[in-house]
Amino acid sequence: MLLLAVAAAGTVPIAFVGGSAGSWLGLPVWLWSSAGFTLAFSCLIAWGVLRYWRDDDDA
Amino acid sequence: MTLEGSSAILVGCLVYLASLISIGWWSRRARRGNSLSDFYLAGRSLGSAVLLFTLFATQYSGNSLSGFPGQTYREGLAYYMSVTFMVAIVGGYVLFAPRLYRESRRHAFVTPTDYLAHRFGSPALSYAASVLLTVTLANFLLAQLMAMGHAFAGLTAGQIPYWAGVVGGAVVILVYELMGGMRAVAWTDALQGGVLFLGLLLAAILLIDVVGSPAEVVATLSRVAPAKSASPSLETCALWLSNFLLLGLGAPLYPQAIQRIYAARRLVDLKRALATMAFLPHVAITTVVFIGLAGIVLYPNLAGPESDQITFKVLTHLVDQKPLAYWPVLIVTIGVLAAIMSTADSCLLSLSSVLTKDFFARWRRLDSREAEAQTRLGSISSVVVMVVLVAIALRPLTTLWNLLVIKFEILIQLSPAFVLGTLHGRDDERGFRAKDILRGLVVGLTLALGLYFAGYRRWHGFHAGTLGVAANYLTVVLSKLAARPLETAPET
Repeated sequence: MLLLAVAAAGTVPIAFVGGSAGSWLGLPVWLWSSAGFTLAFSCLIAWGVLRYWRDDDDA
Repeated sequence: MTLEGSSAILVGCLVYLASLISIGWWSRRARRGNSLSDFYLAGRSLGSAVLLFTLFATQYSGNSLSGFPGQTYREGLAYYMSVTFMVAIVGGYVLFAPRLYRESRRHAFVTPTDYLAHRFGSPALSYAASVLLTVTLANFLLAQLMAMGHAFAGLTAGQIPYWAGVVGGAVVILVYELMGGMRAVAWTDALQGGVLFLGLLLAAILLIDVVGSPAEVVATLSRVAPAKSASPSLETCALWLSNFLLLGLGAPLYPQAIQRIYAARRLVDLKRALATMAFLPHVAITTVVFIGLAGIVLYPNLAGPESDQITFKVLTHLVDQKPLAYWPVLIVTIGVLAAIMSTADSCLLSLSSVLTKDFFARWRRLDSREAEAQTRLGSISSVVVMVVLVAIALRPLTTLWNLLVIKFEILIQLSPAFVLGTLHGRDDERGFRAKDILRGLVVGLTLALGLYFAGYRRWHGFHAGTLGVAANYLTVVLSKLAARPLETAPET
């Protein structure tokens, strides 16, 4: 959980604030960070849904 | 062997339409009664596989297949961010779906407004939400009908003209929907989603064979169109952040999306479907972006509307280079039609449920014992809605087109009602009140529409709707905080 959160949080600024960051990091870093963020985001959603979403009526 | 206008395309389209009718007839036999729940929610019986494909097919409209490659063609490699937008939609579900699903089981909700009426008990909020949902759905359905007409005309090179595509497609959708309701829509969505996904996978494999691997395409791209392989500007990134919020908060609010939450057979089915959905954009949208990038490499100098035809141009190139690709490409092509029709049928069913349950049944004070009458009314409303929208699609109005562009920015203003509303139960004093939500809705809508019609569609990359929803959330929270001291004063 922590690892995924760090991966997502760490890559968000690069994925969403390309601009000045992108100009010195270059396209490959920007592209891989975007892909990494998106994949980490998917994992986080799937893991959260399967692990934490419980039905009170089932409990 | 040419693709456009070939008899195989025509036959493929007709076989596809006939299979939809067959599924409709089959789903009619599976109906278990005449209740609204059975008609609009398939008796809350959708398992994880059908749920996954119906969510997939509903979420990926014709625009995802033909619009996204065109956008990639114009913006370049950086449009890979559209994968993130589509994942954001699944993230948006997680913000409210768990509690909404639980409440829908306890209180047998059919429409999104049923939840709002139960949670907030405010007729003003319920009617306001119903009006916004109706406007959004009607415009979305209209767009799909027009796209359907253009798709039939384009694929068959005019053998099926635009008007016949609109009318014929609408009739087919109406027939199978009236026969089986949500069950027919979900089952046809499973077929349509399957065709769509299979088509995209085949297209990706064939495209790699013809134009090279993604790494090779990116390398070629930096030579033939360096501007389209540069890292994005700050304003472009702000636009993406706005898109991320707009799609993440707005798309899960589509009534057809919320009704699929209600329609899940068990919680575990919904969980499995959503968890899998979180990964589908990595295949589906990455392929769509790859088609756009291959288009830049193959046809570097297209401009304007021609760039929107890039999907078909790339597929035609595939067939020219590899005749064996003809049949897989035919599946992809029909997949485009499937994406449009699956979104249209879901919109129609949801629109019919909102008109029947939220307006007519509430106005006439019909209760659940008059279920058969309500279901019959639902069928009639589907026919009336389709006739009116087909008439408009045959002669589009500019003012309606303007509304279509901002439908998402209108819909997203309902986000606080669901996201903040589900944080607390109806009787929890800590929860947000109807007046908080209504105040936010008025502020958000006024700001979004005001900015839009004043000519400020975007501010530093942020959409008018995103700014509106930010003001909306802020107003709701401030309204609640401002009320607290006054309400607790007598006790202290």
